[in-house]
Formats: sequence, structure tokens, C-alpha cells
Amino acid sequence: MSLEALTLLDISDREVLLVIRDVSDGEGYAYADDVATQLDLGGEHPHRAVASRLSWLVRYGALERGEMRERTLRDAENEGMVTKQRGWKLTPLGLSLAVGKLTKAQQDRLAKANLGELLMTTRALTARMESMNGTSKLLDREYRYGIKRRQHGH
Amino acid sequence: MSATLNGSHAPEAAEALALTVEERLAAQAQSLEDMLGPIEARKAQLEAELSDLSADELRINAAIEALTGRLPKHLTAPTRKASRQSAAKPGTAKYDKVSEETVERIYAYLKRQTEPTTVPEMRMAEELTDVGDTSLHSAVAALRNEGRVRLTGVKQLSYEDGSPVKGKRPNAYEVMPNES
Repeated sequence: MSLEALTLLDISDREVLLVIRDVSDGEGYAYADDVATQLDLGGEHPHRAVASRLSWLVRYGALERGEMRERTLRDAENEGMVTKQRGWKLTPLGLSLAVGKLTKAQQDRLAKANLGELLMTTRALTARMESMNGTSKLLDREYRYGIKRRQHGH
Repeated sequence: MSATLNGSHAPEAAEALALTVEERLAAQAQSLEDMLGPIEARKAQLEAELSDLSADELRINAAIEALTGRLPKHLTAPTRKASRQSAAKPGTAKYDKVSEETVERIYAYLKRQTEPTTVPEMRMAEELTDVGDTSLHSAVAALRNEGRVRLTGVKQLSYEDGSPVKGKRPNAYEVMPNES
């Protein structure tokens, strides 16, 4: 079952960033049509939906745009067509978000934390977010992704 | 002023009528606004009572914790299973229907795979033959919600002879980098 849209409810930012990594070329650049093909995204202009989502990730500092360059399209409809496009590349921040890990000890501590400790953790997290400027939006979005998908029964 | 038979005063009459309608609408609006007053007062009263009750609840919880050294039972951290079930909207969440054990079995299966795996492939796996289609989808959805599994894209399935399976390509999943 392919995706019909590319909203936060459909796919998390972290998943999008990992797809970018999956389809990127040797220089680390991915292209909107390749992402759309990889996800088999529906709709009339799937690559535009991808570009829109990726543009927001650029704004949040997780991606950067490359220079305009020639490339050969690989999607079924336009296979073989040569076009000029600007790619999308993970920034160091984007890469750290995509592959970020918790140690086993950290995971265990969070799993065992009582409500008071979780509350204080949340307070510490929101305090950190205040000082992170634009990039805090990505943390906020990850939180909303988790909450919204549960609410919608996904 | 009333309209004559030839209609020479019709516009004035219509204007008078329009004014009347406007006045009536204004009166109705005023009447509705008057109804809002008591409602807002009642709302403020209930909010104040709720605030007082919440403060009392906090004080009682703190007292219980101080006396027993633990939080009241209803405030202790829920188990993973309880947490998952309470987080979903009761009766509507798809993965209300899937057990914790099944979710963990699917996760363990995905963790052992070397490449992204689709639900049809899971269905064919010998160790998962007893798990239904809905449960497979629900378990994958639950694991995605928890950030333990990710959608990697779609996958072209093929028969044993290498020929592609016709039809829609299913979504493929793998465990998140921090889980592998």
C-alpha cells in the first residue's frame, strides 16, 4: 500500500531523512522524483509533494540544496530523459537526526522512569528546545508525529 | 409609507422592510448574546472548580507519596503494554487488536532481516504463519508509531524464478538505526 500524501502523519521526518540517505547518489544528493518513486507516492504531481516536504526540512536545517546539475531521470514515466535538477543532501544535523541513537543504558533509564522523572525530562527537553532556535521545530514535529499517529489509530 | 398600486413607492417600502428585517435580526442577536452571559459565568465557575480540584488532587498525591514513598497506583508508570493501549483511542486504533507478544515477535523477525521486508513476505515466513494479515499490519503500525521500525519505501516482489509479481508494490520496513 503506497502513500497517497507526504504529511507528517503519513511519514515521520526521520523516515524521510533515512529515505533521502537510501536514494542518494555517491555525492550524497537525492532527487525529489527518486524519493517519490521509492515511496511509490500517489497523486498528480508526487515529486512536487516531495519537494514541498523537503523544502521544510531545509528550513529546519536538516537538509541543504545542491547546485543545478544534469541528470537522467529513472522514474517509469520519464525514464531516460535528461534534465537539470538541484539535489537535496543531509546536513550534519539531518544525519544526526536520521541515525541518532540512545544507548541501552539510556533506553533502560527512560523505560524505568516514573511519572515525576518523565515530567522533569520533558521540562529539560522543552528548556533545551527554547535555546535551539529553528532546529527545535524538528523535535516538536517528532513529538507531534508520535501523538497524532496514535490518535488517528495508525 | 405604503406602496401605491402602480408601485411608485415600492423601493421605499422594500427599504422599510429591509430595515425591519435588520432590526429583527439585531434583536435576535442581542437575545442570543444575553444567553451567553450566564453560560460564560457558569463556564468560569466550573473552570475555577476544576482548578481547585486539580490542586487538591496534586496535594493528595504528594501526601500519599510522602507517606508511602511511592506515587499512587494510578500515577505509577504504566507497563509498555498498558502504555500502548491507553495511548490509542479506545476501540478505534488498529493496533488495539494486536497483542504485545505479536508486536514483539514481528519486531524480532524484522530485526533479523538483512533487507527491508514487506507484509506479504512476513506472511510467507514460516515462523509467522499463525499471525493474521490484520495483526501483521497492526504490529508494523505500532512499531512505526514507537519509532522502532521505519518505512523504507515500496519493494518489487518477485517469484522464485526472478520474474516480478504483478500488481501494487507493497511497503517495505526495517528496524530503525538505533534498534539494529
